[in-house]
Amino acid sequence: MKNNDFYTELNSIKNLMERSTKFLSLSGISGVAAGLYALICTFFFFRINDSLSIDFEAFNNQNSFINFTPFAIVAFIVLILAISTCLLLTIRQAKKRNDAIWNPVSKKLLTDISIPLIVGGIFIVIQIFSKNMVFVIPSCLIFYGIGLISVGNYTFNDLKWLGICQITVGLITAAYPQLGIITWAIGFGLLNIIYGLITHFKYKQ
Amino acid sequence: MSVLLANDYYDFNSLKELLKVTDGNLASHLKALEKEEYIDIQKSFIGRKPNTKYATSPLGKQAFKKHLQALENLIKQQK
Repeated sequence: MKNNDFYTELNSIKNLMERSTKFLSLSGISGVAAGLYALICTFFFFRINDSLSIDFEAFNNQNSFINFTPFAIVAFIVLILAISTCLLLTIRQAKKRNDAIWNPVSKKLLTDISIPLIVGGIFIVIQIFSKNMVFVIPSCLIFYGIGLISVGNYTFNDLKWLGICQITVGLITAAYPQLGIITWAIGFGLLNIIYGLITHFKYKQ
Repeated sequence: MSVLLANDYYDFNSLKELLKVTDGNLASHLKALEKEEYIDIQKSFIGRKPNTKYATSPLGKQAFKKHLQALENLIKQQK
């Protein structure tokens, strides 16, 4: 009997330490949703570009800024949709678990993910304005991956692996830029869906 | 103590929310820890609101680790 009490106490100590350092209300479904949005986005890219392979000769000429606009708009909409879905589902999850949404951990989490996202965003805009689009998609994937790795410390560790995968896909795209549309589908689409499902089933949310 | 050991510091309101206890309950536990010199207290202001942060003291860390060790030993003994 006594053994049980000791276990209970150790467990509650472990539980408190985890709850005070990690944000565990993250919704796996939002990963699946983000992946689906990205796949739809890829479909649009494919339609606008008329092929799965990107021709940078065509992009990096005089009119590249005009040609790039529909891609940028679609990508931006997808980003906003993905972030909103993630926030909404995560808040709903936190309420279900009776966990605080806004606490020292979530603040650290948001700060840590904002840095790579904002820096990445600025870097990408600079590339667009320099009319050099070759590394725009790799940058998206790599900064996203770096953000995920740093956030993984404050929530599910699996996010670190997702981050590593995204960085890998990003670096491959940097080596073979013409594959951009395909790797966008793999990175933002497929990988998000896979990890969303893993998170959902592993942690029952 | 578990929470403070896992974090550099934690403020009063966040502790209250995490542990889901009342002001008075939390305050009296913290007072007891302070008396044993297991925690360090840092009082400051955010604007005009007082904000108190708590951290473990070296003595507190040591005491808690002894406690964990004792629990572990007791579990081993019982096997």
